[in-house]
Amino acid sequence: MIGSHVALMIMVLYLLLLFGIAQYADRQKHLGKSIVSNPYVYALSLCVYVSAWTFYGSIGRAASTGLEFLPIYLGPVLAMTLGWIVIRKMIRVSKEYRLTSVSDFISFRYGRSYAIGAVVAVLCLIMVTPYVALQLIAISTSLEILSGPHIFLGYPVESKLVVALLLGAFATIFGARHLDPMERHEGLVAVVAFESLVKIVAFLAVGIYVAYGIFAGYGDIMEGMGRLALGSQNYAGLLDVDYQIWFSLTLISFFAILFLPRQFHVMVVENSEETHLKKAMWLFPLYLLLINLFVPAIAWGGLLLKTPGLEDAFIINIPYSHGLDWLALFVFIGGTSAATAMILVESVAVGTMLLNDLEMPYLLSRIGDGRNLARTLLNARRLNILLVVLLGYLYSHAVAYQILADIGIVSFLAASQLAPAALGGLYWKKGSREGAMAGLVSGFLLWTYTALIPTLASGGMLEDLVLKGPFGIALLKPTNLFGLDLDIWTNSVFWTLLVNCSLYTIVSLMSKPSPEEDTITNCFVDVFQEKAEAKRIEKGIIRMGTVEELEATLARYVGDLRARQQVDADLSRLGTTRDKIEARQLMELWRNFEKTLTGSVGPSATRMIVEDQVPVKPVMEEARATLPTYDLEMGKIYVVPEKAYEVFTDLVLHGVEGLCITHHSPDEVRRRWGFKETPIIKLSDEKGSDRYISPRNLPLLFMTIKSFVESSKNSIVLIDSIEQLVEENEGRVPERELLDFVYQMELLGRKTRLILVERPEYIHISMPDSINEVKELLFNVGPLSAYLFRVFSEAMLSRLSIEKRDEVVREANELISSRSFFERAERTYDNGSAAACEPDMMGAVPSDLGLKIDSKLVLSRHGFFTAVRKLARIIKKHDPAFDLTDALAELMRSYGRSPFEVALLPGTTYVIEEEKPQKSLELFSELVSHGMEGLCISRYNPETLDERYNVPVKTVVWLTQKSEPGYRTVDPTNFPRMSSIISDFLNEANYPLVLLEGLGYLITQSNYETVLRFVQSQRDEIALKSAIMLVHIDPLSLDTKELHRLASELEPLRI
Amino acid sequence: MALSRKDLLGQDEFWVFLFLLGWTLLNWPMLTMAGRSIIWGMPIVLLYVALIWLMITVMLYLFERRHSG
Repeated sequence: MIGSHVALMIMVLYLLLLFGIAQYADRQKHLGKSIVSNPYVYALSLCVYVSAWTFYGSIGRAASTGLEFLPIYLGPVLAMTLGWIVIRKMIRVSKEYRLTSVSDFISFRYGRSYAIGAVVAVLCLIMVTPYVALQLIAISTSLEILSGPHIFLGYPVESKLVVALLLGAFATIFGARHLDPMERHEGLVAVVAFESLVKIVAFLAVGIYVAYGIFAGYGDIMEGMGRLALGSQNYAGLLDVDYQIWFSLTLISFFAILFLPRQFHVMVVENSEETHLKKAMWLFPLYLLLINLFVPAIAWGGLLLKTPGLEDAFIINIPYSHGLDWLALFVFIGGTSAATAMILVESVAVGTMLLNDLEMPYLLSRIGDGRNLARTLLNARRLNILLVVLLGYLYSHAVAYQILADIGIVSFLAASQLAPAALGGLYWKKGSREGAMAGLVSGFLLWTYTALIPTLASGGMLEDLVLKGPFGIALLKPTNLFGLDLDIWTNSVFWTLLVNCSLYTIVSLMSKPSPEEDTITNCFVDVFQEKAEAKRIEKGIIRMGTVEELEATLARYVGDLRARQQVDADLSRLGTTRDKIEARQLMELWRNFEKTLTGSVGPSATRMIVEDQVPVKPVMEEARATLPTYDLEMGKIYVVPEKAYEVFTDLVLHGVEGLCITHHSPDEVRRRWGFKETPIIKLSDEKGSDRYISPRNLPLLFMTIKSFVESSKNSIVLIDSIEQLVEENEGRVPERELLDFVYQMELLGRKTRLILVERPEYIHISMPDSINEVKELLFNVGPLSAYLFRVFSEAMLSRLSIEKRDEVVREANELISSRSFFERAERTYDNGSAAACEPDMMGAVPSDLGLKIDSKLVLSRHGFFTAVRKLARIIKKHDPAFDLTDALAELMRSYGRSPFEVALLPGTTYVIEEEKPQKSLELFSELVSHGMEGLCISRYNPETLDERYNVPVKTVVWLTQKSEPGYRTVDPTNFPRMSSIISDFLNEANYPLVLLEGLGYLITQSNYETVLRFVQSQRDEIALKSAIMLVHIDPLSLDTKELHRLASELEPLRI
Repeated sequence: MALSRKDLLGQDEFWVFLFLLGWTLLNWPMLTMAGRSIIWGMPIVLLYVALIWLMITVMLYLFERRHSG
């Protein structure tokens, strides 16, 4: 025996070495020289999968049941084949939303559900308990083999307790040194990677020693086993495979590699670059192959050698009994590596999720307002880590000793219960919160009944339950449910996953997700698609304030230093500083705030914090028992010059939740209009109350309105007035900021009733009534169209060299001065005070800086794009490489327009030549989704177009001879009817776009000449109505002459 | 028709196929083919599993090699 306490001392020294490695890695990270951010370290960190279970348990299993240790590794190997599809998606989603644990991942997907997060956190805690117990049993057993029982101060001390205390202290000190918004721990990863190296070297050393040092090679052991199997019934089954359990273990290990808390942590949370996954995808299976190479040799060699002690401990007992103490000690260190890595990562991961998803919401509601929670949170996390180790220790006492592998399977089975909700959530949009909850809870309860209880049953009622079933009902025996005669693990796998998946599916199909859940679902499932970006921008309800306010809020949860570092990093990413930050950047910073918080405190708690930040909460006034006088539809914007307050009051006194933004005194407004509870915000520079917002703090104003609108299902917002806001901001904030504000208000108008109190002269639409609906604001409110043109023209001119820019500006300004640049010298609006001035002189920008554009100029949408194209033509003369669509793509998108719109001339019919109308339909869909009114005449079924290209069904007229109810159809031979449909559409639409697809079909149904005449006549109609028409032609369906004749009538369009 | 191994490895469907193929090869009934026979002193079933394992690893290695960067 190695001297008393020697092994323990070596273990302590080894833990100190690990601590040093972690410190070094963290220090290097702060110096900007990360030793962890490379694919090899990442791959080695995934090998935390190889815990004491593999190190000791696999050998025990191989010695007792033969090859059944293998499926535990086959599942992960197979999972790696889907790594680039599934794991990459998990990484992308988690990075995008800063999800830092598997419970965050699942709860966020289902609408940031606190209940789901809490259930998953509790399940994970229970799931890892047997696994931690396994590690403690393994290490303490090997410790006792090497050093015998420990005696301190004359009293025997249980080895398990010593190990638990040591590892618990190590994990607590090590795993919760600070709060990190990203939950990335470079020190932890460095340690895990180092331990992976130690594990494999130790394992291979013993394997080679047994196979080639003791025996005459691997074949010698196998031959010996063959003889042993022939001679003894006990060993006959070691070369057999039980296919049932083989399948079950492969399946649960496949799920476990994805959803065990520690695997999720190292694979997803600690991943620094997605591309590292590619190398890990083959290095990890290779590592597993190498470490398993000698498992049969050690296990069966141990049997042949009749090694004393437990089969699990063969790996340490064989060298030890052969006098190789140093090798036995090295194996002990390898086993300690396997156990500490597992306990470390598992306790940190579970500790984080317990804090974020279980305790944080409670802490926030009980210890809320204003207190700095960073220290409390850090201590709570330390307690959680200790709790994980403590529970493992208690379980190790409760469980009747079994071979280690069986204890591990219980944990793997539990991890599998997360798979339906997690994988379903990642790929299935209909998966709902209720479905996930039903699946998780049922799976969890069945797992407890069929797997956990049988491992704990050692005498008493539990043993009776396991042996005879509840109340003696044999059909309900936990290990043989409904008498299917499956082995214990297959029985549990089958029933838990069957019920879990079934309930998840059925309940999901029966439930309707909330709008928030819907939005998150789309972002989750479509995370690789660009479209998800737009939705992301729209989400989040947070109050806007200064950078200092943001930092102070964040500091409450992550501490002052971390908050400052995080804010500085975000500012640096935005290319700005605290002093020079612009409103647009501030808005971006606040958008990031929610993500940062999610990383720190989890999605459920973030939701609570964010909701707490809503400064004006919707309130319903005491409703009157009369019917309202006015009826305003939700989702519309109204301009009400005279009686806006009357309309607003009428609605808020009839059950609608209102928000009043005004330049008047709130008290005066209340006194005059008689509403009491409805929040009023005065646009003023007064300080000291939430009820005042500076008219120049447009981001704060917008986010305040947005948070109000998104918190209410039936709201009305009154703004009095945009004109005053514009005047107060003119020359003080960038025009782009004003435009952004008004455009965002336009979007917000779709979720509420927005009333603008404006003078009729300020709005450029006809206003025959006292309440007038306005569909878009940028081209219809005051000088905004001129602002917009200035922003657009600047974006175009910024692509030129200084010399060329000067030439273009000079030429354009000459045209502007001669009034031949803007169409029909668009009108100007009257701003009262400056009515006497010459339009050209009002607000004009000096010519040496840019275009001389009158600030009071009003451009219609048509006039605006005509002017943009005119400027583009001038630029192109000086710079032939200039690409208008490219130059304006970002701007067009930021104002909800398709970049192609600017390139399409009104009054033009374009031809798109392509075999299948894919691009034509995609372009049509994009333009319609960005505000154009569309008519699509197509050979395709409208449902197909909707499904494949997102073309709205209501825009489609189906070319078919059949009449289908629910669809608009037209006979392909009935050209007068087609003409009439197009004509009616052009008369009604403000901004019309027609797509004609299916010309080949039209020709086969009539003849080429008729179709050509039809296209010609429509082209003229389009020109007269200043509309745009796209005609798709399959060049292979026409001969060269026909194609030429048709194409010569139309403008070619290349996409 | 041009065949390209790079294209094959770059397609999601191929990996789904490989996953299903691996699953099939490493489970019943394919494992029964090996039985209890021993070759070169090793159980065939062990060699068979190791071979499939290695094959999958090599495919993943090729994917990384060809799609790095």
